[in-house]
Amino acid sequence: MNWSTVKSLATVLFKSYFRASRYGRRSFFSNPVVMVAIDIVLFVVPFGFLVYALPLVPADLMSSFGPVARQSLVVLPVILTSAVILAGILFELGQTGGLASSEAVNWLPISPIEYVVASSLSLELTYSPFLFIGLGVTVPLALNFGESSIVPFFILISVMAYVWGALIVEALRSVMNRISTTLYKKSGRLGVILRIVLVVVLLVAVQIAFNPYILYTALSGIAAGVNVAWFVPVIWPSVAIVSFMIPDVAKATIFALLSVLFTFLIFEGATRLRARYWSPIPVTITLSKSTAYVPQAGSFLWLDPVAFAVASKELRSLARRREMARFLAIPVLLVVSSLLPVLTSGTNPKEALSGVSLVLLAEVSLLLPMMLSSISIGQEGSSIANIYMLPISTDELVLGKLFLPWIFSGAGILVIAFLMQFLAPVAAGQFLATLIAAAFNMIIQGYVGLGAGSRYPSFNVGPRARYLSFTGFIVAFVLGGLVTGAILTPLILYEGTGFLTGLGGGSTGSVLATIFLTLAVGTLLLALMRYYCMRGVQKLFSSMEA
Amino acid sequence: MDGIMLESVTKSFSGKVAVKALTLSVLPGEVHGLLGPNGSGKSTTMKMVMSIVKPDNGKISLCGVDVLRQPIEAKRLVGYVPELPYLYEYLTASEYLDFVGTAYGIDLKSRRERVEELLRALQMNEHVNDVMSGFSQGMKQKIAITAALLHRPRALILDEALNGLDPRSAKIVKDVLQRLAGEGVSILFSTHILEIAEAMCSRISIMNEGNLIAEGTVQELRSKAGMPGSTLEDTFLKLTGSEDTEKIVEALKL
Repeated sequence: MNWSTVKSLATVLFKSYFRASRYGRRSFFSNPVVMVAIDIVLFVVPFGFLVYALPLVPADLMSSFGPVARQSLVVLPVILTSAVILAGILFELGQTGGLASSEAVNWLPISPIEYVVASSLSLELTYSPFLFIGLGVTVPLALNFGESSIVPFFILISVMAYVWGALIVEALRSVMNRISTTLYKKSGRLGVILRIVLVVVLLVAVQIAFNPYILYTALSGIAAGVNVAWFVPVIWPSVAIVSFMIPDVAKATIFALLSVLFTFLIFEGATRLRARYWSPIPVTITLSKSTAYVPQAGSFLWLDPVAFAVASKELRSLARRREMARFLAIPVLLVVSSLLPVLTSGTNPKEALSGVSLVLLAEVSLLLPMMLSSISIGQEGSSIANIYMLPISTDELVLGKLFLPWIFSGAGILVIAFLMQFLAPVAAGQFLATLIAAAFNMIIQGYVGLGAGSRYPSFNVGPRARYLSFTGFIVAFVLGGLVTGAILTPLILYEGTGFLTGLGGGSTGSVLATIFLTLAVGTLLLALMRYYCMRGVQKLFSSMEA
Repeated sequence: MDGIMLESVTKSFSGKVAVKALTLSVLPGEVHGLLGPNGSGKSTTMKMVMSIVKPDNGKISLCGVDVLRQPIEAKRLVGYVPELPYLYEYLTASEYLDFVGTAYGIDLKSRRERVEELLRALQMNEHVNDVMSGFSQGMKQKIAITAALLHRPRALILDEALNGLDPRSAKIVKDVLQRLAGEGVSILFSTHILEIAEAMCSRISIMNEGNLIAEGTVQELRSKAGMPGSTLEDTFLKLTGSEDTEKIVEALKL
């Protein structure tokens, strides 16, 4: 193994990995030396703070804190392995095919071992803040709670667990790319659908797994049950630490040696996989066996053929681009993360669901259309040139771009509204007023998102790209929040304060007043935000400067 | 007047002048070569004709349509192949061509005939239902050329359009362009392969650092450079002041 090749390749991979991320433009941070300096700071700051602050904590509080501190020492290796795997997989899922393929290694004189060592080193450097913050927090705890003898052993074991994470990601990358390539080659359209479903499920599962409630329960389980689950390799470092604390030196030594052995096994596995698959090259994906060209076109609902063609393209972008899957996962996550605490709270599910349904309605009518419309310009990337060179009018483009955000959130609003009505029925008038407010909000948020997206697009299509600049994100959310507030005001006045209930000479009159006010505010805001959107799109397409 | 007309067109990017007071015309039936070193302003000029980039000053018309005032109408009349074919790579070739065809307002019957004949000519008919992310550069270029020819444009803007094409496809594209010129289509064509420019173009303009430094037939350019009987390559190097290539190669100590 040529170490200068490994060092050079690791630096290149680290830089490309880092610069391909959303922070890519800040090249200052993509210097390995800068990263090491940041790591030192990330270790020293919590370490110094805790060494200073822990002796100041009252003794009775400290005694109850002791078991938690010891648990943190036990679970840190598991957290480090999981965090690196999670971050590595999310990065892999978020990047485009072009960036995923580092084909150059296929023809450069680099051996699989050199590549695996370099790639895992680059990953370790990229995610090194996890390790240094983790150690910066746990080492002072160990020192303070009379576990100073374990510190060198604990640091070594934690570093080893951290390296496991990088090696496992490296192995998974080879396998994932291979599976993805094979799936695409063999199953065409089905493969595309399967992949997007798998990616969305994986993203949602990962986010749910890191939900504070579930994480706390899982880690407590691990800390309590390391001796029970000793046969699971990822637990071995924790078993070694627990055994060292007891102290059971023989058991600690055995599990430490098993952990070292496992490191070699993963390394061997990663190397063999890399040697077998190398770096994947883009494959040709055939969506249909037929070689006949069958032209497709047509209008749909309020869309003329050109706007419909734009909308179809947007749908295909969302369904086929791996890096877009997270935008499909976000609405699912919104619903799941809103429902999860409610469903696990132990209250009557019917009551709990009716309580959260208004929040869901606001989320679906505000966040979903805004998010999808605000990224719709930036996600074009360099292919935006097509829109510039084709005879597509501003109206056609806006309608085509907003079709999916409106359809998706419209369907969501209907499902939630009728579910809400089923669980906690309200008077027909009030239900109608709620639907009108949600519909107006959804339509206007589409214009707000596209207006911001066209003014502040980010055409960087790297991993975890936002497709919207930070300024655009702030503008969209402030404007969107204000709009939602204004549209919901009549409804809040009616339902919450009862202010409108007294107007109009009875309940029918007050509902009508609420509907009228919602229509008036909605129409005014619709006109304003539509203008904001159209001006933004016109300005963007007046000249391509980049 | 028909054809492609540029009158005193200027464009700057962040204070750097990319195109300086350019006046150029491409008449109907003319294949007009636009030559120049990298960064000389050729692509910017073509993007301005396509109303992709807005000029700071000047007038551009395409087949009588003012590009600045009526950009959508102008785009309907022209086909464009950019330097890099930025296709939607997650679409299949047929989906992309459907998108382009719909934007140009081509009816289904004409689109089917046109796409089939163009893809067959460029040997791409077997790949019509393949996602374009797996295409080679040449295959992407063929799809870009097909898209540009789909609506039977009255003018063509081709920015190094033959890059990456296999010899057979390049020959077919060259013959198609000659035939289209014969039918009155105005073609503005940039290339770095001077043999192609010499063989195809009835007139040639040479740009350097944003300026139009020479314009005319190949013979006229040779006379202008004071090099009658020389190759277009030598003429080009002389006019652009870059004839010191031998010294550079010597200095490389290969």
